[in-house]
Amino acid sequence: MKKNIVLLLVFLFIGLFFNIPKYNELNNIVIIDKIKIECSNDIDILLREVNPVKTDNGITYNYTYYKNNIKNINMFKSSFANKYHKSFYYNKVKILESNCNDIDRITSSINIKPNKIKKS
Amino acid sequence: MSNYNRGLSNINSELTINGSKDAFIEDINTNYGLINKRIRNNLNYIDLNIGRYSNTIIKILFIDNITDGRLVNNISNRINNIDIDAIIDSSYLKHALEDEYNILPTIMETERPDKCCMALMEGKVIVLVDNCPYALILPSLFFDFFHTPDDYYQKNINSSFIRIIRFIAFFIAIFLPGIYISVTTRNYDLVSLPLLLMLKAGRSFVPFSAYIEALLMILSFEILREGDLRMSQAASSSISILGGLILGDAAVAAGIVSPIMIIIIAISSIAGLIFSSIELVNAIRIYKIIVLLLSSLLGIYGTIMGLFFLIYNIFNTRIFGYSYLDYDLNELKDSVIKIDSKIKTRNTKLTKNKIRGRYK
Repeated sequence: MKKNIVLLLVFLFIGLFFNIPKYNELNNIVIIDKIKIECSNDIDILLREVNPVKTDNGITYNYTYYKNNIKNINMFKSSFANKYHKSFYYNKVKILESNCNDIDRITSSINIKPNKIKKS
Repeated sequence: MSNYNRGLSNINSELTINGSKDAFIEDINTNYGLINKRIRNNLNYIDLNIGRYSNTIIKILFIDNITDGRLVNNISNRINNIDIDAIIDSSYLKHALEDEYNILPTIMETERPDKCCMALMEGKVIVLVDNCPYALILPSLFFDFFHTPDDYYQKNINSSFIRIIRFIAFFIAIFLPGIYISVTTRNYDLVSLPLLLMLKAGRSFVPFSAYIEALLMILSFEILREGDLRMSQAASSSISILGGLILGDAAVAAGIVSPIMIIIIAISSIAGLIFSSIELVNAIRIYKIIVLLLSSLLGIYGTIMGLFFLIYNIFNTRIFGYSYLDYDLNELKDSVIKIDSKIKTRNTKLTKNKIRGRYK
C-alpha cells in the first residue's frame, strides 16, 4: 500500500517538470478556425471563432470575430489574450488568409499550422 | 442433528451458456461431493477446524500428484494460524491468505463445482468452508479473472474472440472516463475539430467542471447499482426505471450533466460489470477513480501514468510466491487468446506435472 502511494506521489511530482497543458474547461476556450492577417504599416489580424450550438435539428455553428492591430508578429498571441481576456485555442485553425509576402516566417513565428494557406 | 441444508440450486452469479448448472450450497460435505463426483481419483483433502466458538470445518482440496506440496502446506499453515472467534464465510479466510492492501484480487471465489475441478487440474488448491456456498481458488493469477468455464466448452476461435472483448472492456472500464477528461480539459489536440465542437456543444449548458461531473455520475451509478443489488426483486425493477430516468433524461433536461458524459460513464461501468468476479469489479472501480484524478490533474500524461501504475501493480503482485502475471509460454497460449495443441499442458510454475493429456 505504501509503495502504491509513494508511486502515485512520484508520478504527480514528475508531472511538475513536464509541459502539461493548462487546465481549461471546453466552455471557456475560444476555438479559432480561421485567421486573416493583413500586412500594411502595422499588422491587422482578424480571428474567427467557431461556436457550436445544440439545437433540435443537430448542431449549428455561430461565428464570432476578434480584431486586433499589432506592430510585431511575435506579439500575436499575447495581444489577443490581453485585449479580450480569453483563452484562445489556435491548434485547429483550418484557413490562414494573408497578403503578407513571408507567410512561412509568419506561421513559424506564431507557431500555428493551418490546414490551408490562402494568399489575398 | 436435523438437516438444515437447502437443496442443490442453480448458479446465480457466474452464468454460462454451456456446462453444468449446479452450484455449491452451505453444506461442506455436499460441496465436497460435487467436486468428488467429477474428480474420482487422487483427490485429497486436509480437514481443519477454525474458530473458537464456531469450530468451522474447512477442507483444503488438492490433487496428490499434481499440486505442489509446498503450496498446500503454506495455505494450511496460514489457515491454521488464524485465531478468531468465528468463521462465518470463506471471505474471512482471505484476510489471512492475501495482501489486503493490494487493489488487485488474488483469490477467486466461485460457486461453480466445474470451475473448481478445472482449477484442481491446473495444480491449484480449493478451500471449502462449511456454511458458505463459495469456494476459494488459490492462487488465482491475473488471466484467471478473464476466463470463464464457457471458454473451455466452445471452439478456440470463439473463446479467443470473447476474451479479446473482455480485455478491451477491462481497459475501457478503467481508462475511458480519464481519457475523456484529458481531451475536454487539457489535450484538445487529440481529437479532430468536428468531434471537439460536438463535445463543446454537449457541455455548453453544464455548470460543473468535467471531472466533478464525472465523479457525480460515477457516484450516482454506484448508488443505483448498490440499491439494485440490495433490494428485493419486486422493487429492483422500479429502481432500475427510476435510475434510468434520473440519470438519463431528467439530468440532461435539467442541464446538470451532458449527454456525452452519461454515455462515457455508462459504457465504462457496463464494461466493468462483464466480469463475474466481484473483486475484479471492485478493483476496476478503484483504478477508474485513480486514473480519473490523475487525468484531471495532469491530462493525458496522467492517464499514461495511470496505465504505468496499473502495469506496475500487475507485475509487482505475488501470491504465495507465484508471479501474478505469468511468464510461462504454455500459459500465454491460454491467456488473451486460446490456442490448443495435441498435447495439453499445465502451468509449469505451479506444478512439475506438466502434461495434462494427449489427443491422438
